[in-house]
Amino acid sequence: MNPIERLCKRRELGKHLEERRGRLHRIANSWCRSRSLADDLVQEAFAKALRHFGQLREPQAFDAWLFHILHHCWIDHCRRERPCEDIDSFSNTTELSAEQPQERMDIVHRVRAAIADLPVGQREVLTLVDLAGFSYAEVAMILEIPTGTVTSRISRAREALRDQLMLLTERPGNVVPIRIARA
Amino acid sequence: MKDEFQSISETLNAYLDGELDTETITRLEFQLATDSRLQRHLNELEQVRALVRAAYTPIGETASPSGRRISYRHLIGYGLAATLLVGVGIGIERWQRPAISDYNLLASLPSHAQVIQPAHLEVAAPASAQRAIFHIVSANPQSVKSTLEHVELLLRRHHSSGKPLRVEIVANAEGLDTLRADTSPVREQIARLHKDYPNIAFLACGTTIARVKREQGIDVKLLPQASVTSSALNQILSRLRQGWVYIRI
Repeated sequence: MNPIERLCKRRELGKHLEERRGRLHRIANSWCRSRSLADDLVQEAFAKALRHFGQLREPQAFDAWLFHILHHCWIDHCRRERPCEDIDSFSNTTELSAEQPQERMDIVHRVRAAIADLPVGQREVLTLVDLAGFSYAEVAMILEIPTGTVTSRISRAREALRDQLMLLTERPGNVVPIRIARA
Repeated sequence: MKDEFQSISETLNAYLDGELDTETITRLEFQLATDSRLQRHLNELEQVRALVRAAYTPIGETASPSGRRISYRHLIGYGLAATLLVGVGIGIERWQRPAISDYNLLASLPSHAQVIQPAHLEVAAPASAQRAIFHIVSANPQSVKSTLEHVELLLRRHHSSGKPLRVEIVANAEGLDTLRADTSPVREQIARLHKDYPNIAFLACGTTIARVKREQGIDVKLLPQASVTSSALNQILSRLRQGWVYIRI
């Protein structure tokens, strides 16, 4: 590949990466519960993706490959920083604005807190399936675990959340905010 | 070792996420139709998923992932329809109620009717849409009568317009009562339809008949107009593949 071709490729890749920034950030934030750390993880993942783009064998698996890199960045961070969570930097209000109805914000905070309480393996699987829309097979590839483990983790995660969250939807006053969120 | 609850939960979650094979979906759908606790469990898991999505959805976006995969979320309310969508393996469109016209197969159906219309057919196309398979799964006399009334209405309409309609009525689960000689609440109506219209067939599910025999020790006697198909579900799937319209009222 000549330098011009390489430059074009990198530009193209940069465009693909930018298109996925929001999704990656959402997942990273759900894993690490810190907005600034999520920024760092996404940046690190982008840098690695640019460096190792040549290793991507199947272009159609670009998303799974990218999230796989993000996951490695997250694991590396945990290894470096254990215990990794900086309580002060928690950002449960990411992507929410002050204009949001208080009820919705309360629900969002409770849901995020419940997700945060999950074991990290369950949290990763849940967010990759529910927030990023990956299939179980793709999640297995991203996290390098058997598909059966994905199946059991997603089930355990949702059951744990079900125990905690079903009260939210049973309170009549909460119905409207949830509908707004889903609309 | 995996306990029973975990096993059920994994199946329900995989169902929600579109990860089950057709055979498992079929079995599960039938369980869901008769087990309200299981249905509630599924509904709650679905709500959990919606809450998770909503909790991380930026303002102004919809709370769903990229939509690359089939999502059963939108199909849950369609009951068996969700099974069939997968089983048929062809594109299906959610039915939009068409304008009323004298040849339109679907225009006169009640609003709660579930319809599967193979996507490659035009809803109003008279030639291809004149084959319909009606599914009866309930023993509720009102529901059964309503189904037969609509069948008769359609047959009459098509007959008078000179465009014959082929209809199959397939009954299984509790709906089998409709075609049983000892329990049918609509035997006169069935006899009349059978006499007046040559293009109608009444089919009882062989699997259900075998189950009644096994579980209740009853040798099912069918109405003289009814015949047996080995499996209602297979019959429906086969007809859908051939371009028939599925209707459940």
